[in-house]
Amino acid sequence: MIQLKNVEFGYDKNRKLFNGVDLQLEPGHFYGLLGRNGAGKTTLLKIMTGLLFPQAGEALIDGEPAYKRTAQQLSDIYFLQEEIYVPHLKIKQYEEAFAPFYPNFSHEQFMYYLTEFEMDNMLGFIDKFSHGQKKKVMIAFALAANVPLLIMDEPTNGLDIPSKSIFRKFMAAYADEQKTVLISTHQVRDLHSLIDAVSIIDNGRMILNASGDVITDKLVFDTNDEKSKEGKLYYSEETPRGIQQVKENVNHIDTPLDLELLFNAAVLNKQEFTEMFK
Amino acid sequence: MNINNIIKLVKAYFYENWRNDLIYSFGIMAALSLFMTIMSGNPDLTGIKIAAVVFMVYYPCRFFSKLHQPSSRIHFLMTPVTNAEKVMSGMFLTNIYFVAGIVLSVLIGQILGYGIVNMYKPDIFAIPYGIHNLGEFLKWQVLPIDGEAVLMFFAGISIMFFAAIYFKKSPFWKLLLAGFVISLVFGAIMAGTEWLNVVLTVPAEIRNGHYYKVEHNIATSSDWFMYVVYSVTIVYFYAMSFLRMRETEA
Repeated sequence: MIQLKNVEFGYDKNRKLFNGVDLQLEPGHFYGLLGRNGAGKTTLLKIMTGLLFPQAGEALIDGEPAYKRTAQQLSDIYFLQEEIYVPHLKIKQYEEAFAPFYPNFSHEQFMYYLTEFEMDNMLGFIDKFSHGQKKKVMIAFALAANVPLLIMDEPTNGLDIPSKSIFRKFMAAYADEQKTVLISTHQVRDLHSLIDAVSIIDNGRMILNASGDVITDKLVFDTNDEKSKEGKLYYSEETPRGIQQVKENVNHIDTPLDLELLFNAAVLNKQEFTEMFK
Repeated sequence: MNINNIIKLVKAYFYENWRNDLIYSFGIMAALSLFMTIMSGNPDLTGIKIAAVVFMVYYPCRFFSKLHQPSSRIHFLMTPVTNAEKVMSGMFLTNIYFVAGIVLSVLIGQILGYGIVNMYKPDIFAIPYGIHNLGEFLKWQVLPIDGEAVLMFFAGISIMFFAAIYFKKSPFWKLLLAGFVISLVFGAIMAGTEWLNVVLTVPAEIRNGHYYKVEHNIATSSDWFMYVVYSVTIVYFYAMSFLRMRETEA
Protein backbone atom coordinates (compact mmCIF):
# COMPACT_ATOMS: atom_id res chain seq x y z
CA MET A 1 0.00 0.00 0.00
CA ILE A 2 2.51 2.60 1.24
CA GLN A 3 6.21 2.14 0.93
CA LEU A 4 9.06 4.44 1.91
CA LYS A 5 12.44 3.42 0.54
CA ASN A 6 15.52 5.04 1.99
CA VAL A 7 13.78 8.41 2.24
CA GLU A 8 15.87 11.48 2.98
CA PHE A 9 14.29 14.82 3.73
CA GLY A 10 15.08 18.10 5.45
CA TYR A 11 13.52 21.55 5.54
CA ASP A 12 17.04 22.92 5.74
CA LYS A 13 19.56 21.69 3.16
CA ASN A 14 22.27 21.30 5.78
CA ARG A 15 20.14 19.55 8.40
CA LYS A 16 18.42 16.35 7.44
CA LEU A 17 15.26 15.45 9.32
CA PHE A 18 15.20 11.94 7.84
CA ASN A 19 18.26 10.09 6.79
CA GLY A 20 17.28 6.86 5.07
CA VAL A 21 13.82 6.04 6.41
CA ASP A 22 12.27 2.75 5.32
CA LEU A 23 8.67 1.85 6.04
CA GLN A 24 6.03 -0.45 4.64
CA LEU A 25 2.34 -0.27 5.52
CA GLU A 26 0.21 -3.31 4.71
CA PRO A 27 -3.59 -3.52 4.44
CA GLY A 28 -5.52 -4.83 7.44
CA HIS A 29 -3.33 -3.17 10.07
CA PHE A 30 -3.84 -0.33 12.48
CA TYR A 31 -0.49 1.43 12.72
CA GLY A 32 0.61 3.78 15.44
CA LEU A 33 3.35 6.22 14.44
CA LEU A 34 5.20 7.35 17.53
CA GLY A 35 8.01 9.84 17.99
CA ARG A 36 9.21 12.68 20.18
CA ASN A 37 8.17 16.29 19.58
CA GLY A 38 9.87 17.50 16.41
CA ALA A 39 10.86 13.99 15.33
CA GLY A 40 9.05 14.59 12.05
CA LYS A 41 5.90 12.47 12.40
CA THR A 42 3.70 14.96 10.56
CA THR A 43 6.40 15.50 7.94
CA LEU A 44 6.58 11.76 7.38
CA LEU A 45 2.80 11.61 6.92
CA LYS A 46 3.06 14.41 4.35
CA ILE A 47 5.79 12.55 2.46
CA MET A 48 3.67 9.39 2.42
CA THR A 49 0.71 11.27 0.98
CA GLY A 50 2.74 13.12 -1.66
CA LEU A 51 2.35 16.49 0.03
CA LEU A 52 6.11 16.77 0.46
CA PHE A 53 8.69 15.36 -1.91
CA PRO A 54 11.65 13.35 -0.59
CA GLN A 55 15.09 14.72 -1.44
CA ALA A 56 16.34 11.18 -1.96
CA GLY A 57 14.71 7.77 -1.92
CA GLU A 58 11.13 6.99 -2.85
CA ALA A 59 7.65 7.31 -1.38
CA LEU A 60 5.22 4.98 -3.15
CA ILE A 61 1.46 4.52 -3.00
CA ASP A 62 0.43 1.20 -4.56
CA GLY A 63 3.75 1.13 -6.41
CA GLU A 64 3.32 4.63 -7.92
CA PRO A 65 5.35 7.64 -6.72
CA ALA A 66 3.31 9.55 -4.13
CA TYR A 67 4.36 12.96 -5.52
CA LYS A 68 2.25 12.34 -8.64
CA ARG A 69 -0.92 12.79 -6.54
CA THR A 70 -3.11 11.10 -9.13
CA ALA A 71 -6.88 11.22 -8.67
CA GLN A 72 -6.87 7.47 -7.94
CA GLN A 73 -4.17 7.79 -5.27
CA LEU A 74 -5.94 10.71 -3.61
CA SER A 75 -9.37 9.05 -3.61
CA ASP A 76 -7.78 6.06 -1.83
CA ILE A 77 -6.43 8.23 0.99
CA TYR A 78 -7.97 10.49 3.58
CA PHE A 79 -5.52 12.60 5.58
CA LEU A 80 -7.03 14.09 8.72
CA GLN A 81 -4.70 16.84 9.85
CA GLU A 82 -4.07 17.92 13.41
CA GLU A 83 -4.82 21.55 12.50
CA ILE A 84 -7.94 20.90 10.54
CA TYR A 85 -9.24 23.19 7.84
CA VAL A 86 -12.97 23.71 7.69
CA PRO A 87 -14.57 25.99 5.13
CA HIS A 88 -17.47 28.33 5.86
CA LEU A 89 -20.12 25.65 5.32
CA LYS A 90 -22.78 23.84 7.29
CA ILE A 91 -22.35 20.11 7.88
CA LYS A 92 -24.86 19.16 5.18
CA GLN A 93 -23.27 21.56 2.69
CA TYR A 94 -19.81 20.21 3.47
CA GLU A 95 -21.03 16.70 2.74
CA GLU A 96 -22.69 17.81 -0.53
CA ALA A 97 -19.54 19.64 -1.64
CA PHE A 98 -16.87 17.09 -0.77
CA ALA A 99 -18.48 13.63 -0.47
CA PRO A 100 -18.71 13.25 -4.30
CA PHE A 101 -14.91 13.07 -4.44
CA TYR A 102 -14.94 9.79 -2.49
CA PRO A 103 -16.66 6.95 -4.39
CA ASN A 104 -17.29 4.83 -1.26
CA PHE A 105 -18.64 7.66 0.88
CA SER A 106 -21.66 6.57 2.92
CA HIS A 107 -24.23 9.17 3.96
CA GLU A 108 -25.79 6.71 6.45
CA GLN A 109 -22.46 6.13 8.16
CA PHE A 110 -21.75 9.86 8.23
CA MET A 111 -25.08 10.49 9.96
CA TYR A 112 -24.45 7.61 12.35
CA TYR A 113 -21.03 8.95 13.38
CA LEU A 114 -22.43 12.47 13.80
CA THR A 115 -25.32 11.17 15.89
CA GLU A 116 -22.98 9.22 18.16
CA PHE A 117 -20.85 12.36 18.59
CA GLU A 118 -24.07 14.31 19.28
CA MET A 119 -23.31 16.55 16.32
CA ASP A 120 -26.31 15.65 14.15
CA ASN A 121 -28.40 18.60 15.35
CA MET A 122 -25.69 21.23 14.86
CA LEU A 123 -27.09 23.62 12.27
CA GLY A 124 -24.50 26.40 12.22
CA PHE A 125 -21.38 26.84 10.13
CA ILE A 126 -18.61 24.37 10.92
CA ASP A 127 -15.91 27.05 11.11
CA LYS A 128 -17.82 28.62 14.02
CA PHE A 129 -17.78 25.37 16.03
CA SER A 130 -15.29 24.73 18.85
CA HIS A 131 -12.06 22.92 17.95
CA GLY A 132 -13.36 19.64 19.38
CA GLN A 133 -16.65 19.91 17.50
CA LYS A 134 -14.86 20.65 14.23
CA LYS A 135 -12.71 17.60 14.82
CA LYS A 136 -15.75 15.40 15.42
CA VAL A 137 -17.29 16.47 12.10
CA MET A 138 -14.05 15.82 10.25
CA ILE A 139 -13.52 12.44 11.94
CA ALA A 140 -17.09 11.46 10.98
CA PHE A 141 -16.43 12.55 7.38
CA ALA A 142 -13.07 10.75 7.22
CA LEU A 143 -14.57 7.49 8.48
CA ALA A 144 -17.63 7.74 6.21
CA ALA A 145 -15.33 8.23 3.19
CA ASN A 146 -14.41 4.52 3.55
CA VAL A 147 -11.01 4.94 1.96
CA PRO A 148 -8.49 2.08 1.89
CA LEU A 149 -5.90 4.22 3.72
CA LEU A 150 -6.92 6.50 6.55
CA ILE A 151 -4.16 8.69 7.98
CA MET A 152 -4.82 10.67 11.14
CA ASP A 153 -2.50 13.14 12.81
CA GLU A 154 -3.25 13.43 16.54
CA PRO A 155 -6.97 12.65 16.08
CA THR A 156 -7.84 12.66 19.77
CA ASN A 157 -6.35 16.11 20.47
CA GLY A 158 -9.22 18.39 21.42
CA LEU A 159 -11.75 15.61 21.97
CA ASP A 160 -13.49 15.42 25.36
CA ILE A 161 -13.31 12.22 27.42
CA PRO A 162 -16.62 10.66 26.28
CA SER A 163 -15.78 11.48 22.66
CA LYS A 164 -12.44 9.71 22.96
CA SER A 165 -14.15 6.45 23.91
CA ILE A 166 -16.70 6.92 21.11
CA PHE A 167 -13.78 7.48 18.74
CA ARG A 168 -12.15 4.22 19.93
CA LYS A 169 -15.43 2.40 19.35
CA PHE A 170 -15.64 3.77 15.79
CA MET A 171 -12.05 2.86 15.01
CA ALA A 172 -12.44 -0.68 16.34
CA ALA A 173 -15.43 -1.17 14.03
CA TYR A 174 -13.69 0.56 11.11
CA ALA A 175 -10.72 -1.78 10.83
CA ASP A 176 -11.00 -4.61 8.35
CA GLU A 177 -8.69 -6.63 6.11
CA GLN A 178 -8.87 -4.18 3.22
CA LYS A 179 -8.23 -1.00 5.16
CA THR A 180 -5.09 0.47 6.61
CA VAL A 181 -5.18 3.01 9.40
CA LEU A 182 -2.15 5.04 10.39
CA ILE A 183 -2.38 7.25 13.44
CA SER A 184 0.36 9.59 14.53
CA THR A 185 -0.05 10.41 18.18
CA HIS A 186 1.43 11.31 21.54
CA GLN A 187 -1.74 10.17 23.27
CA VAL A 188 -0.82 6.50 23.28
CA ARG A 189 -3.20 5.72 26.16
CA ASP A 190 -6.16 6.88 24.03
CA LEU A 191 -5.43 4.41 21.25
CA HIS A 192 -3.58 1.69 23.07
CA SER A 193 -6.28 -0.93 22.56
CA LEU A 194 -6.55 -0.31 18.81
CA ILE A 195 -2.98 -0.24 17.56
CA ASP A 196 -1.73 -3.61 16.30
CA ALA A 197 1.46 -2.41 14.62
CA VAL A 198 3.93 0.22 15.73
CA SER A 199 6.35 2.49 13.93
CA ILE A 200 8.76 4.55 16.01
CA ILE A 201 10.84 7.31 14.49
CA ASP A 202 13.74 8.95 16.25
CA ASN A 203 16.73 11.03 15.17
CA GLY A 204 15.81 10.80 11.51
CA ARG A 205 15.56 7.00 11.44
CA MET A 206 12.82 4.42 11.76
CA ILE A 207 13.98 2.45 14.76
CA LEU A 208 11.03 0.09 14.90
CA ASN A 209 8.31 -0.96 12.46
CA ALA A 210 6.64 -4.18 13.52
CA SER A 211 3.30 -5.73 14.36
CA GLY A 212 2.20 -6.08 17.97
CA ASP A 213 2.59 -9.88 17.78
CA VAL A 214 6.20 -9.64 16.69
CA ILE A 215 6.94 -7.11 19.42
CA THR A 216 5.37 -9.15 22.23
CA ASP A 217 7.11 -12.23 20.88
CA LYS A 218 10.45 -10.56 21.49
CA LEU A 219 9.71 -8.36 24.51
CA VAL A 220 7.97 -8.72 27.86
CA PHE A 221 6.05 -5.81 29.42
CA ASP A 222 5.34 -6.37 33.10
CA THR A 223 5.07 -4.75 36.52
CA ASN A 224 6.90 -6.27 39.49
CA ASP A 225 8.06 -5.30 42.94
CA GLU A 226 11.68 -5.67 41.94
CA LYS A 227 13.75 -5.47 38.79
CA SER A 228 13.80 -8.67 36.77
CA LYS A 229 17.02 -10.65 36.45
CA GLU A 230 15.79 -12.86 33.64
CA GLY A 231 16.61 -11.63 30.15
CA LYS A 232 18.04 -8.30 29.18
CA LEU A 233 16.31 -5.30 30.74
CA TYR A 234 15.71 -2.53 28.21
CA TYR A 235 13.74 -0.09 30.31
CA SER A 236 12.33 0.22 33.82
CA GLU A 237 10.29 2.84 35.57
CA GLU A 238 9.22 3.08 39.20
CA THR A 239 5.53 3.72 39.69
CA PRO A 240 3.21 3.53 42.75
CA ARG A 241 2.07 0.13 41.45
CA GLY A 242 5.60 -1.25 41.25
CA ILE A 243 8.42 -1.32 38.74
CA GLN A 244 7.23 -1.32 35.14
CA GLN A 245 9.75 -2.86 32.82
CA VAL A 246 10.49 -3.94 29.30
CA LYS A 247 12.79 -6.94 28.96
CA GLU A 248 13.84 -9.63 26.57
CA ASN A 249 11.23 -12.38 26.21
CA VAL A 250 13.46 -15.34 27.06
CA ASN A 251 10.64 -17.59 28.34
CA HIS A 252 8.28 -16.81 25.42
CA ILE A 253 5.50 -15.59 27.64
CA ASP A 254 2.69 -13.50 26.20
CA THR A 255 2.19 -10.07 27.78
CA PRO A 256 0.04 -7.18 26.57
CA LEU A 257 1.86 -4.51 24.59
CA ASP A 258 2.42 -1.26 26.48
CA LEU A 259 3.08 1.48 23.93
CA GLU A 260 4.48 4.01 26.37
CA LEU A 261 7.00 1.56 27.81
CA LEU A 262 7.86 0.30 24.32
CA PHE A 263 8.53 3.84 23.11
CA ASN A 264 10.78 4.66 26.09
CA ALA A 265 12.66 1.39 25.65
CA ALA A 266 13.08 1.93 21.92
CA VAL A 267 14.52 5.44 22.16
CA LEU A 268 16.93 4.29 24.89
CA ASN A 269 18.13 1.29 22.87
CA LYS A 270 17.96 2.55 19.28
CA GLN A 271 20.67 0.37 17.79
CA GLU A 272 19.49 -2.82 19.42
CA PHE A 273 15.86 -2.25 18.55
CA THR A 274 16.72 -1.43 14.95
CA GLU A 275 18.62 -4.72 14.69
CA MET A 276 16.00 -6.69 16.62
CA PHE A 277 13.07 -5.60 14.42
CA LYS A 278 14.85 -5.44 11.08
CA MET B 1 -8.64 14.77 -17.71
CA ASN B 2 -12.04 13.96 -16.25
CA ILE B 3 -14.69 16.63 -16.83
CA ASN B 4 -16.73 15.28 -13.89
CA ASN B 5 -13.87 16.03 -11.53
CA ILE B 6 -13.66 19.60 -12.82
CA ILE B 7 -17.42 20.00 -12.31
CA LYS B 8 -17.11 18.62 -8.76
CA LEU B 9 -14.34 21.11 -7.94
CA VAL B 10 -16.27 24.04 -9.39
CA LYS B 11 -19.35 22.92 -7.46
CA ALA B 12 -17.32 22.73 -4.25
CA TYR B 13 -16.04 26.25 -4.97
CA PHE B 14 -19.62 27.53 -5.38
CA TYR B 15 -20.70 25.88 -2.16
CA GLU B 16 -17.91 27.63 -0.30
CA ASN B 17 -17.92 31.02 -1.98
CA TRP B 18 -21.24 31.92 -3.56
CA ARG B 19 -22.25 34.16 -0.64
CA ASN B 20 -19.02 36.17 -0.72
CA ASP B 21 -19.06 36.40 -4.51
CA LEU B 22 -22.60 37.73 -4.40
CA ILE B 23 -21.69 40.25 -1.70
CA TYR B 24 -18.64 41.43 -3.71
CA SER B 25 -20.79 41.75 -6.85
CA PHE B 26 -23.31 43.89 -4.97
CA GLY B 27 -20.39 45.90 -3.58
CA ILE B 28 -19.06 46.58 -7.09
CA MET B 29 -22.54 47.49 -8.31
CA ALA B 30 -23.13 49.84 -5.39
CA ALA B 31 -19.71 51.49 -5.76
CA LEU B 32 -20.18 52.04 -9.49
CA SER B 33 -23.72 53.33 -9.22
CA LEU B 34 -22.51 55.75 -6.53
CA PHE B 35 -19.57 56.76 -8.74
CA MET B 36 -21.87 57.39 -11.70
CA THR B 37 -24.24 59.38 -9.48
CA ILE B 38 -21.43 61.56 -8.18
CA MET B 39 -20.09 62.04 -11.71
CA SER B 40 -23.62 62.92 -12.89
CA GLY B 41 -23.41 60.28 -15.57
CA ASN B 42 -20.08 61.52 -16.90
CA PRO B 43 -18.99 59.01 -19.52
CA ASP B 44 -15.29 59.12 -18.61
CA LEU B 45 -14.86 55.59 -17.29
CA THR B 46 -11.11 55.51 -16.65
CA GLY B 47 -11.63 55.09 -12.90
CA ILE B 48 -14.10 52.28 -13.46
CA LYS B 49 -11.73 50.46 -15.80
CA ILE B 50 -8.93 50.69 -13.23
CA ALA B 51 -11.29 49.33 -10.55
CA ALA B 52 -12.31 46.47 -12.83
CA VAL B 53 -8.67 45.57 -13.50
CA VAL B 54 -7.89 45.57 -9.76
CA PHE B 55 -10.81 43.21 -9.17
CA MET B 56 -9.61 41.00 -11.98
CA VAL B 57 -6.23 40.80 -10.28
CA TYR B 58 -7.98 39.92 -7.06
CA TYR B 59 -10.17 37.11 -8.38
CA PRO B 60 -7.48 34.75 -9.72
CA CYS B 61 -5.86 34.79 -6.28
CA ARG B 62 -9.29 34.18 -4.79
CA PHE B 63 -9.69 30.71 -6.32
CA PHE B 64 -6.24 29.71 -5.10
CA SER B 65 -6.59 31.40 -1.71
CA LYS B 66 -6.64 27.89 -0.21
CA LEU B 67 -3.00 27.54 -1.16
CA HIS B 68 -2.00 30.38 1.15
CA GLN B 69 -2.56 28.66 4.52
CA PRO B 70 -0.94 25.30 5.39
CA SER B 71 -4.11 23.53 6.57
CA SER B 72 -6.29 24.72 3.68
CA ARG B 73 -3.45 24.00 1.25
CA ILE B 74 -3.36 20.37 2.41
CA HIS B 75 -7.16 20.18 2.09
CA PHE B 76 -6.94 21.51 -1.48
CA LEU B 77 -3.96 19.40 -2.56
CA MET B 78 -5.52 16.23 -1.11
CA THR B 79 -8.80 16.75 -2.94
CA PRO B 80 -9.00 13.65 -5.13
CA VAL B 81 -8.62 15.18 -8.59
CA THR B 82 -5.48 15.54 -10.69
CA ASN B 83 -3.33 18.68 -10.68
CA ALA B 84 -4.39 19.36 -14.26
CA GLU B 85 -8.06 19.21 -13.23
CA LYS B 86 -7.37 21.64 -10.38
CA VAL B 87 -5.76 24.08 -12.81
CA MET B 88 -8.55 23.63 -15.38
CA SER B 89 -11.29 24.35 -12.85
CA GLY B 90 -9.36 27.46 -11.80
CA MET B 91 -9.10 28.53 -15.44
CA PHE B 92 -12.84 28.11 -15.91
CA LEU B 93 -13.62 30.16 -12.81
CA THR B 94 -11.19 33.00 -13.48
CA ASN B 95 -11.72 33.31 -17.24
CA ILE B 96 -15.45 32.76 -17.47
CA TYR B 97 -17.23 32.96 -14.14
CA PHE B 98 -15.29 35.83 -12.55
CA VAL B 99 -15.01 37.81 -15.77
CA ALA B 100 -18.73 37.41 -16.51
CA GLY B 101 -19.52 38.37 -12.90
CA ILE B 102 -17.35 41.48 -13.02
CA VAL B 103 -18.64 42.61 -16.42
CA LEU B 104 -22.25 42.14 -15.33
CA SER B 105 -21.64 43.91 -12.01
CA VAL B 106 -19.94 46.83 -13.76
CA LEU B 107 -22.70 47.20 -16.35
CA ILE B 108 -25.55 46.86 -13.84
CA GLY B 109 -23.78 49.27 -11.48
CA GLN B 110 -23.46 51.87 -14.23
CA ILE B 111 -27.04 51.43 -15.40
CA LEU B 112 -28.20 51.91 -11.82
CA GLY B 113 -26.02 55.01 -11.54
CA TYR B 114 -27.52 56.50 -14.72
CA GLY B 115 -30.98 55.63 -13.39
CA ILE B 116 -30.33 57.50 -10.15
CA VAL B 117 -28.97 60.50 -12.04
CA ASN B 118 -32.04 60.40 -14.27
CA MET B 119 -34.29 60.88 -11.24
CA TYR B 120 -32.95 64.32 -10.37
CA LYS B 121 -31.34 65.41 -13.65
CA PRO B 122 -33.45 64.10 -16.56
CA ASP B 123 -31.68 66.31 -19.14
CA ILE B 124 -28.60 64.10 -18.74
CA PHE B 125 -30.18 61.87 -21.36
CA ALA B 126 -29.36 64.34 -24.01
CA ILE B 127 -26.22 62.20 -23.99
CA PRO B 128 -26.86 59.42 -26.52
CA TYR B 129 -25.66 56.59 -24.27
CA GLY B 130 -28.15 57.41 -21.50
CA ILE B 131 -30.33 54.91 -19.66
CA HIS B 132 -33.37 55.73 -21.80
CA ASN B 133 -31.62 53.86 -24.59
CA LEU B 134 -30.01 50.72 -23.19
CA GLY B 135 -28.91 49.52 -26.63
CA GLU B 136 -26.93 52.72 -27.22
CA PHE B 137 -25.47 52.52 -23.75
CA LEU B 138 -24.27 48.92 -24.19
CA LYS B 139 -22.91 49.71 -27.66
CA TRP B 140 -20.96 52.60 -26.18
CA GLN B 141 -19.57 50.23 -23.56
CA VAL B 142 -18.69 47.37 -25.90
CA LEU B 143 -17.55 49.09 -29.12
CA PRO B 144 -14.26 50.51 -27.77
CA ILE B 145 -13.21 46.95 -26.85
CA ASP B 146 -11.21 45.39 -29.67
CA GLY B 147 -9.69 41.94 -30.09
CA GLU B 148 -6.24 43.06 -29.02
CA ALA B 149 -7.58 44.58 -25.79
CA VAL B 150 -9.45 41.35 -25.02
CA LEU B 151 -6.36 39.23 -25.65
CA MET B 152 -4.24 41.56 -23.54
CA PHE B 153 -6.76 41.29 -20.74
CA PHE B 154 -6.77 37.47 -20.83
CA ALA B 155 -2.98 37.44 -21.03
CA GLY B 156 -2.96 39.57 -17.88
CA ILE B 157 -5.30 37.10 -16.18
CA SER B 158 -3.07 34.16 -17.14
CA ILE B 159 -0.07 35.89 -15.53
CA MET B 160 -2.06 36.66 -12.40
CA PHE B 161 -3.29 33.08 -12.36
CA PHE B 162 0.27 31.78 -12.32
CA ALA B 163 1.29 34.31 -9.68
CA ALA B 164 -1.66 33.24 -7.50
CA ILE B 165 -0.34 29.67 -7.48
CA TYR B 166 3.26 30.75 -7.14
CA PHE B 167 3.02 33.22 -4.26
CA LYS B 168 2.05 31.77 -0.92
CA LYS B 169 2.21 34.88 1.28
CA SER B 170 0.43 38.20 0.65
CA PRO B 171 -0.56 37.06 -2.83
CA PHE B 172 -2.81 40.06 -3.52
CA TRP B 173 -0.08 42.68 -3.10
CA LYS B 174 2.46 40.57 -4.94
CA LEU B 175 -0.07 40.12 -7.73
CA LEU B 176 -0.55 43.87 -7.92
CA LEU B 177 3.21 44.34 -8.06
CA ALA B 178 3.50 41.61 -10.70
CA GLY B 179 0.69 43.29 -12.67
CA PHE B 180 2.54 46.61 -12.54
CA VAL B 181 5.80 45.06 -13.78
CA ILE B 182 4.02 43.11 -16.50
CA SER B 183 2.16 46.19 -17.72
CA LEU B 184 5.50 48.03 -17.91
CA VAL B 185 6.96 45.17 -19.95
CA PHE B 186 3.92 45.03 -22.24
CA GLY B 187 3.97 48.80 -22.58
CA ALA B 188 7.64 48.68 -23.59
CA ILE B 189 6.97 45.88 -26.10
CA MET B 190 4.03 47.76 -27.61
CA ALA B 191 5.93 51.02 -27.82
CA GLY B 192 8.93 49.21 -29.30
CA THR B 193 6.91 47.40 -31.98
CA GLU B 194 5.01 50.56 -32.85
CA TRP B 195 8.27 52.45 -33.25
CA LEU B 196 9.81 49.64 -35.31
CA ASN B 197 6.69 49.44 -37.42
CA VAL B 198 6.80 53.14 -38.18
CA VAL B 199 10.54 53.22 -38.82
CA LEU B 200 10.55 50.13 -41.02
CA THR B 201 7.36 50.56 -42.99
CA VAL B 202 6.75 54.29 -43.29
CA PRO B 203 8.95 56.16 -45.77
CA ALA B 204 11.16 58.82 -44.25
CA GLU B 205 9.34 61.50 -46.22
CA ILE B 206 6.10 60.70 -44.48
CA ARG B 207 7.79 60.55 -41.07
CA ASN B 208 9.38 63.91 -41.74
CA GLY B 209 6.04 65.43 -42.68
CA HIS B 210 6.67 65.92 -46.40
CA TYR B 211 3.51 64.02 -47.25
CA TYR B 212 0.10 64.83 -45.85
CA LYS B 213 -1.59 61.53 -46.68
CA VAL B 214 -0.61 58.54 -44.60
CA GLU B 215 -2.07 55.09 -45.29
CA HIS B 216 -4.25 53.92 -42.42
CA ASN B 217 -3.13 50.29 -42.50
CA ILE B 218 0.54 50.89 -41.73
CA ALA B 219 0.24 49.45 -38.18
CA THR B 220 -1.31 46.13 -39.20
CA SER B 221 1.86 44.06 -38.79
CA SER B 222 2.39 45.30 -35.21
CA ASP B 223 -1.24 44.39 -34.42
CA TRP B 224 -0.63 40.82 -35.53
CA PHE B 225 2.63 40.72 -33.65
CA MET B 226 0.80 41.69 -30.46
CA TYR B 227 -1.87 39.03 -31.07
CA VAL B 228 0.92 36.46 -31.21
CA VAL B 229 2.65 37.88 -28.11
CA TYR B 230 -0.56 37.76 -26.08
CA SER B 231 -1.52 34.28 -27.28
CA VAL B 232 1.92 32.88 -26.49
CA THR B 233 1.79 34.59 -23.09
CA ILE B 234 -1.57 32.96 -22.30
CA VAL B 235 -0.40 29.46 -23.28
CA TYR B 236 2.95 29.88 -21.54
CA PHE B 237 1.55 31.03 -18.20
CA TYR B 238 -1.17 28.37 -18.05
CA ALA B 239 1.44 25.71 -18.80
CA MET B 240 3.62 27.20 -16.06
CA SER B 241 0.61 27.20 -13.71
CA PHE B 242 0.12 23.49 -14.30
CA LEU B 243 3.80 22.74 -13.67
CA ARG B 244 3.81 24.89 -10.56
CA MET B 245 0.67 23.19 -9.22
CA ARG B 246 2.31 19.81 -9.78
CA GLU B 247 5.32 20.94 -7.76
CA THR B 248 3.37 22.61 -4.96
CA GLU B 249 4.11 21.05 -1.58
CA ALA B 250 2.22 21.32 1.69
